[in-house]
Amino acid sequence: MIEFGQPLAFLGGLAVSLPIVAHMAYRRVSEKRLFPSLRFLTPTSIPRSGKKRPSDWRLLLLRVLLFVVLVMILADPYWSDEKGKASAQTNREKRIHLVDCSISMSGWGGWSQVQGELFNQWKDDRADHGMIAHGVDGLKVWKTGTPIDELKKGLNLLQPIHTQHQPQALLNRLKKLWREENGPKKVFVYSDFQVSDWQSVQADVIGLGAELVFVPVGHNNGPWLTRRGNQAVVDARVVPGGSGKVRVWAVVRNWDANATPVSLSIFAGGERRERIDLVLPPLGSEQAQFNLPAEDFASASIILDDNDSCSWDNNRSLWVSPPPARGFAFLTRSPMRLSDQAEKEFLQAVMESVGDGVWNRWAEVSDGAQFDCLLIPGFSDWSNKETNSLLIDHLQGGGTALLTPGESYVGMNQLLRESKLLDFTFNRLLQTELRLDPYRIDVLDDQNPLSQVFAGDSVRDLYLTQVRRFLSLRDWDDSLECPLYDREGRPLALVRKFPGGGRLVFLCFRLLPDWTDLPTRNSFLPLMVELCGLTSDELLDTGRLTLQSGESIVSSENSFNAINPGLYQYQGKKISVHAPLAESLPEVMTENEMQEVLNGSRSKMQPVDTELSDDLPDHSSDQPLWMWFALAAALLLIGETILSVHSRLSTHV
Amino acid sequence: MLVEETDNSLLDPTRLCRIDDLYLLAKIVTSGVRSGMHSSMRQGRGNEFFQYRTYEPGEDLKNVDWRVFAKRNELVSKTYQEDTNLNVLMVVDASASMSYAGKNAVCSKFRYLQMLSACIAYLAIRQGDRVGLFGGSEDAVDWVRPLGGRAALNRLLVKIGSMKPAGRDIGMQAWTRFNAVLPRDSIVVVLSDFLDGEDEWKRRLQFAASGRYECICMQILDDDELVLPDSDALRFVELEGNGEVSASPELIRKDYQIKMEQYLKGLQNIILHAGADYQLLKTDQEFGHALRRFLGLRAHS
Repeated sequence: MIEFGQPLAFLGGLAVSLPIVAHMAYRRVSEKRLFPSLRFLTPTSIPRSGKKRPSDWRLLLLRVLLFVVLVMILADPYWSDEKGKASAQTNREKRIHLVDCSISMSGWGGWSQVQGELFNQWKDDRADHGMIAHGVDGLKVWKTGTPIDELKKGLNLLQPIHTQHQPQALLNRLKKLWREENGPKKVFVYSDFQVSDWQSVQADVIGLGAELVFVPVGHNNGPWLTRRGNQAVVDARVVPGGSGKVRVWAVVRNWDANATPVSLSIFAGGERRERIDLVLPPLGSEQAQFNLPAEDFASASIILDDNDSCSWDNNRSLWVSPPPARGFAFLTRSPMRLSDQAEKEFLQAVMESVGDGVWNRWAEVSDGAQFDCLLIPGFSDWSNKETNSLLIDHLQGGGTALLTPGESYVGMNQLLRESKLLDFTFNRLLQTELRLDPYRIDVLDDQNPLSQVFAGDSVRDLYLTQVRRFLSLRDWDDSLECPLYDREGRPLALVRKFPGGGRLVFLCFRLLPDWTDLPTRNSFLPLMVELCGLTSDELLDTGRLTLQSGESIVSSENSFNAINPGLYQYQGKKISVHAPLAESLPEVMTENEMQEVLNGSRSKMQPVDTELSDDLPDHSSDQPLWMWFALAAALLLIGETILSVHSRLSTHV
Repeated sequence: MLVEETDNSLLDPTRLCRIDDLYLLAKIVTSGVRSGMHSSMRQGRGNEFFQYRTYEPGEDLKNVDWRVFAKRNELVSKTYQEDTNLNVLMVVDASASMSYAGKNAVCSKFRYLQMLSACIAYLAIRQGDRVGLFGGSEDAVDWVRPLGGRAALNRLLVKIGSMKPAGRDIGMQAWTRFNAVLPRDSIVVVLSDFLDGEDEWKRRLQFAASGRYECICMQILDDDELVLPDSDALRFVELEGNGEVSASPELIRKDYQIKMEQYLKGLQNIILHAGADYQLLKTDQEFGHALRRFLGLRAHS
């Protein structure tokens, strides 16, 4: 049956009289008639009076119908399915309960409140209940109509999980679940409405035809007010702490408006190793540092001895053992000369300084141990087949090697060419006696990979480097890179890259004070790092990873899902997982903000113990008809146009 | 009376306007008009056999058809169509105003003119006259020299059928030329609506004053032109110009009729004073009357 949402619009039905009046008052002044002669015609005024009877019934009928249809469109017509409505009225109300299972719900007494509220709701057997919540292994859905016992069982299995709440997923599932549901519906949202969880959510629950009820829980400072009193260990890191020691550094955050005394302890090897008393400033942070023996403990836990409202963020575990360093080794003549020794010390200092900002990443290895970088100061004809094959195997296995020239330049050149490591022609040894006019490194062009590192102020130190002696080379192989050259364009370093990732760096000068002042310059370390490629991702991989709950590592074989905070090992990596910091924040959304987020401005806020409302009109089974009426109006308009044009044309003949 | 014996259904323009072939149309019309008109035919000495008739005592026996007598034992005389030197000139108005057809009219004024002129031409040819045509509009004046015989009739009918009403009436210059070339001993039939230039008609018809010419002016009008169309208000647009007049026919009908009546009377006087006959024809009027007027006129000549 057709019903109208705006019956008052039928007052507009008076407009139907308009086409009738217009039709009767039509004077036909525009009716044109070709006539043989006008000589006997006298112009007259056109009679003002309209016609007593309409002449074009079809046109008049169309116009009246057009106005009737327009009025009906304004009256918001819809098809009221009485059967559907009757069945809908007999349907029970459907209630879905969206439960926030984020870890923040475990604080401020939120989870126990949720359980209490839900059990109260389920006592009302006049409605069908359902529930959607996040479980450990994904979204859990109990459709409306699920027996209360099953819901209770499901609720008992649920618990706050250490991931950040994703209410958008709950709402999306709700939309999918209720897309074709009819009858009265209500959505109950049980959450602490933490800002970090809800601020980016966008949903139209009202659009589903459902009534929205917010159930704020865990608001210990009053409903919809920022919560009080939480302290948390928000960060913890381990750094080198001198010889044989590591330093554990922790940050504690206070979200209380008052200064709060706390004590922070470090547990390692199952015992409390150290305890520090702190007074946390109001709404501020405090740092604490603990020292542990470097090799004694693999892991440690920082625990905040505090009785705050939210205990899950009071501890943090971390791996404390230093990450394993990459090895480098020297290959020198035996016995070493003083010049070799001096050069070795310079190179050793550089290699041990290469790090990731915290840990030194390179360490000299003893004989027979695995190494990634081979350093050969004063490479010359002292080298034999054994050392040559060692060098070649190392390079072909993906290793890095650095050579500086020895005394016998011709012998060195011959050896390198014979072993097919480097192909160039030794020209002569260039040296300047004038200390004020040394050889300088030329400006790096844009194509040079070093130009990306040495830019701005840092490049000045490199360009001021004095080179007083260096080997002048010529006819070097085109496959060799020449990243460094003097201002005359003569190479100062050659690099050869091997297919397996190996890299051979040949410096045309020795790293000795009478050759160059490079080892004493700030640019020495970055230059060596870049020339030898010591900062590649593979070489810098510490095997340590820090994840937040909810994140995962996906590999081709299997994956690692970080859920509970703690320490894990996965595929040789040491992983520390901690709960998201956002869950510790006490700020909550306001009621109005939540209304906006869920289109709640149209919803009616009700107390939690809301009763079934039978007096609300139910339009869920109504089908809007305005589109059909608009279509009819368009057809009538077309018909009216055709008829009126036809009528006008016929009068012109 | 001749009129009483006529089959008027054959002369009704309502039926005839459906016939496109003017020759056929003319034949049908004249067969209805000619019945009982034998005495008006010029029968006498001539080469073309016309018909048989009952022998009357005292008549020249040379006319008796003896073969018929031998077969049927009845004396019949052969009559021959007399060769004449009479020319019939039709002056046809093909101006734009002739294209008018009222809402209730069976055809336009020009279509009526075409049918009537075809009938006249047919009748004239059947009576041994030569038929010619002068007419058209100001832009295109046609002149067909009077000729006799079936072929001339066909050419004339094709010409009449191909004319389209457009433009203004024939100008005075053309009329002067027409007066100059008009053959002697002619019957001139002017077919027009005579709606403008009534003062000029005296000059145009000056040949009618001569005893060598007979002239009849047949004014063809639509009923709307006499009484105005039925409508509350109309915007009248002139067919032969751009003039417009908005008027309510209801309000001006009486005045219009008076003016039209006065005009027709004045026109009739002018035509009669010029020495021509006048006949008003409406487009819904059957052709019998007009043709009889033509035949009556011919009988005088």
